[in-house]
Amino acid sequence: MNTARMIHTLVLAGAALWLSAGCRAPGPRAAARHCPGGSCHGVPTETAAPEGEAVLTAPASETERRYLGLPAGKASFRLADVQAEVLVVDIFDLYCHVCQKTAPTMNRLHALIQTRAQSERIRMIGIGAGDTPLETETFRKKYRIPFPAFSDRAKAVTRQLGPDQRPALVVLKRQGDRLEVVYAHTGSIDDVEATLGEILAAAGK
Amino acid sequence: MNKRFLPAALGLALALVADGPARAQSWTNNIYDPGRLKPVDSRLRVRVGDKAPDFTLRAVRGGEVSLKAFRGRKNVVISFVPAAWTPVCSAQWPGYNLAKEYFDANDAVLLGITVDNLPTLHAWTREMGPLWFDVLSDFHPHGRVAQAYGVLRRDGTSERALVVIDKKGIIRYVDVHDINERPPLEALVGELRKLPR
Repeated sequence: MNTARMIHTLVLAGAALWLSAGCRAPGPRAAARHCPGGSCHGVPTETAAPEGEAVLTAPASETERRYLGLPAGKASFRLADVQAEVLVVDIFDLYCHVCQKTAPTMNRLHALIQTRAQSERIRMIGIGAGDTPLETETFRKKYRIPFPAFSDRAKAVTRQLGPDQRPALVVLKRQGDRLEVVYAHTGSIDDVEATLGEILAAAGK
Repeated sequence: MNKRFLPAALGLALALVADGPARAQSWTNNIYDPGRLKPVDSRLRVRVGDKAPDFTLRAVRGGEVSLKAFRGRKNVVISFVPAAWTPVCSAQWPGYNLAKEYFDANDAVLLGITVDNLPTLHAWTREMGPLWFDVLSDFHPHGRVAQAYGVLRRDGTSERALVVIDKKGIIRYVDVHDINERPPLEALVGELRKLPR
């Protein structure tokens, strides 16, 4: 076999593997040097909300507001304000091509969850990590995302949920007036039914 | 190549493609990370109101693309990005790939340009999925177009810059953005909407 061709093939295979893993921030050591606050997108950290005050803009749609059990008239909400026993969060980014490929799978997961939404009080939302409102809306429209999706430009809410990586699926379970992370998966999802099983098991359903 | 080394080479190839996520993690950590860069490291040579410097560059899809071909026909947005295979999380083009409606609504085309060579751009952009816009190589002479616009950095990469050009070939907007950050889509769409039809 031609050596140059083999090397070329190995490099392409490795690059393909790396890209299929999703969008990652560099590791902790590199993050301290390269991405203040762990943000690869360089979102100005001076605008990040202080701990405990991370909020999202309340949905304009009455249907979405009722789905999440949020009171009318409030401009923003914390995740803990969502009236749910279990909250499934799809963390995406308009600029992340693996998130784009994963979006239809997240929609299928939502469809499966919907059959249990009322009885089990499970709700699902999307968060555009590092995305502006228009960027979030562009992603939502493109993939006809059926669940509410919110811009988190400063990643204040995203940072509370776990590692700085997209796409990510994070599941929270209610503990009194708080929500706690019980499950997290980063990268694409191969088997939606199996993932739903894992989510429900982690949430004690 | 000596045939004795063939099994070892194949074994290495198999090791690389197996155990995907862990191996991908290893590759992620091995991708070159330039660290936090100086936000801007060039001197802009164009401004709003100037005639946009013309160019002809080779396209990843084959053939060449000339800026003057759009005169009288289309508004043009040039997206310079620093380099292929830099941390993908900072890549703008996968996002612009979903934003075609904003360009169509304002009779605009998008040209993506880097200083990388064609094979590099080919491999990198293929991973983003089919792109609706042309990707052009400003590799040889190295960075000549980036230099003409004044967005070539001292290390030979280009700035993260957007240039909006109207149908008369006049520059209407330039954003040489902090290379470590991503310009908001709202700003670009706002400028597109200001363009005359």
